[in-house]
Amino acid sequence: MQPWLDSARAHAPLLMIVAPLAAAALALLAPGGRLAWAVACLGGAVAATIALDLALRMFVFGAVQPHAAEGAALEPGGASVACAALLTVAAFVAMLASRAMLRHDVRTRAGPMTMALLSVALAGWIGALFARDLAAIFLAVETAWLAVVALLALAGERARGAVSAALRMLIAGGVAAALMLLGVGLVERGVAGARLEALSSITVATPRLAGVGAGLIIVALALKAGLAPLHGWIGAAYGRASPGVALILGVVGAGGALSVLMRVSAAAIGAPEVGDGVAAALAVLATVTVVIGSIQAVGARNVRRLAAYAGAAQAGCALVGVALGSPAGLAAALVQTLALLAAMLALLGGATAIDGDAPLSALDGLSRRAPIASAAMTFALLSLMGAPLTTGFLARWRLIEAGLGAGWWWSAAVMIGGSLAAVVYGGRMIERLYFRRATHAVEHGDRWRWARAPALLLAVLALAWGVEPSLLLRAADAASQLDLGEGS
Amino acid sequence: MTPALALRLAFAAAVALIMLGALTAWSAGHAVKRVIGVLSALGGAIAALAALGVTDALLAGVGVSVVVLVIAAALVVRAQEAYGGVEIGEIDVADTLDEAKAPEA
Repeated sequence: MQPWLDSARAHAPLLMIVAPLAAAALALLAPGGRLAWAVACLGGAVAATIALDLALRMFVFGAVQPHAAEGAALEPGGASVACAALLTVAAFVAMLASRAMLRHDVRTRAGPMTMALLSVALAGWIGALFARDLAAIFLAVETAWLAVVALLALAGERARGAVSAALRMLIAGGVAAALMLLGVGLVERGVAGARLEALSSITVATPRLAGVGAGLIIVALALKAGLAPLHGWIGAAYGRASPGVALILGVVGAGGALSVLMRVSAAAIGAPEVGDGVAAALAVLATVTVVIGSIQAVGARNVRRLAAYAGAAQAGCALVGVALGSPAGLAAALVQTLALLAAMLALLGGATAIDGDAPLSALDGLSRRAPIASAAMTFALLSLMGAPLTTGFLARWRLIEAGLGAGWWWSAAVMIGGSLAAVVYGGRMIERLYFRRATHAVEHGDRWRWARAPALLLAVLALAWGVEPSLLLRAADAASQLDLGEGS
Repeated sequence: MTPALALRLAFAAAVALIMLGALTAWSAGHAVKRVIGVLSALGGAIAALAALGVTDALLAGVGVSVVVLVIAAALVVRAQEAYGGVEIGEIDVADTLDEAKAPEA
């Protein structure tokens, strides 16, 4: 048994990609949605188990990162392994919750295809996190993105708004793909190599070319992560998608894109020739995202749109940490990513308790009819506000600490501004949840609604990790040291 | 004309095609025109890669362009069926009306 286990561990990054891909193929062959859902969940569970094992071994027990010859060029770094662990676990519980989506949001015959696309999207983002070459990263990103677009389009069979939202996503993502492709070409020409790490480890022959290329790749990924001002598609996509698809968009789609953006940005900032320019551009992008995302979240009148804009603002906070270019900043960004994914799981997972469109008025009195969903949403909102003892507070604290340590005093103002905005929109939602009379019906009698309970429970646990965060901080510090520490 | 100058001119034309495609995708009032804009931008990016001599990403770009074309065609047909047209303005108006039907949406 031990040799098999050792072999699996040596090839952990590849298995994390293959498991969901194999699940996707089997799900397509499944005769019905229920079997396809079970197969996809199994693939997600395998990927999450391998990712957690790899992260624990690398960050807690200090094992050397695997460098097995795969045929496909994979290179797991600190941030990519940490993000893959977060993403696979979040995607697995989102897959469990998607059982309700299969019943309500898509037609019965589309069930296997829906689960296959979800698995392909997960495999794509993990592939982009581990791929060594820029061209492979591009291919993996586009695979994941197009799978999410197709998933949204499938939901259009029940609600036509999803079709126009998918078209909007496809057009925005297509332009981003063109920019990313051009960026890949410029970087490869500029550093005379195809590897992402070549940016920092090989002398850049033509810095301006490589810098422009890295900038184009970052802009393209920022668009796919829904960062302002490139987030024109997220309002329509989240608002017009069905509740289950919005959950997948928020956790797998935006979460995956943000993780890849963090990985690429960290590599580009480490490049001596172009790092300063990339850091400055990222800092501006992050600040604009926090400001615009927060303002739009305050003005939103739909629960899912509000979650989308709040998520964008929180992603901007994570990007500030990456822009610092220091191990402390990257570690804080990883903690912020955990807080963001958990908040999205809780907010969008809780919102699946609301049928159809989700105006804010649908939250009125929800705590009496859906207490678990309401409690999870409340936890998420408190974390977004940065309330003490939550993971959101911990992340914000570490980001401010890292920013002040680098002399970026303005980053503290950005974090505090984002938190104050969260108090406004979060307070409004909590008031509706607990202090208003109900005006909307909540679905009852569907036993599959309990499938979303693990997602909500895990989200609450992740948000409450801020109470005793020593293991989390140790892992985040170890991951950031691997990428940006001395000798990395 | 030297080969180096010809390559530079080809690269400049490719970048111009990307910008033109992106502008069309951003501003055209018809879904099909927007899709054509996206495909033009992708075609420009592929041409730029060829001019730069970067071949490994070229095939990936071609593959992605084909998939984008297939999904876009399917979505345009679905939009025509669902909305009765593919004018972006009309689709937006229909979506706004749909959302207005929901209370307080």
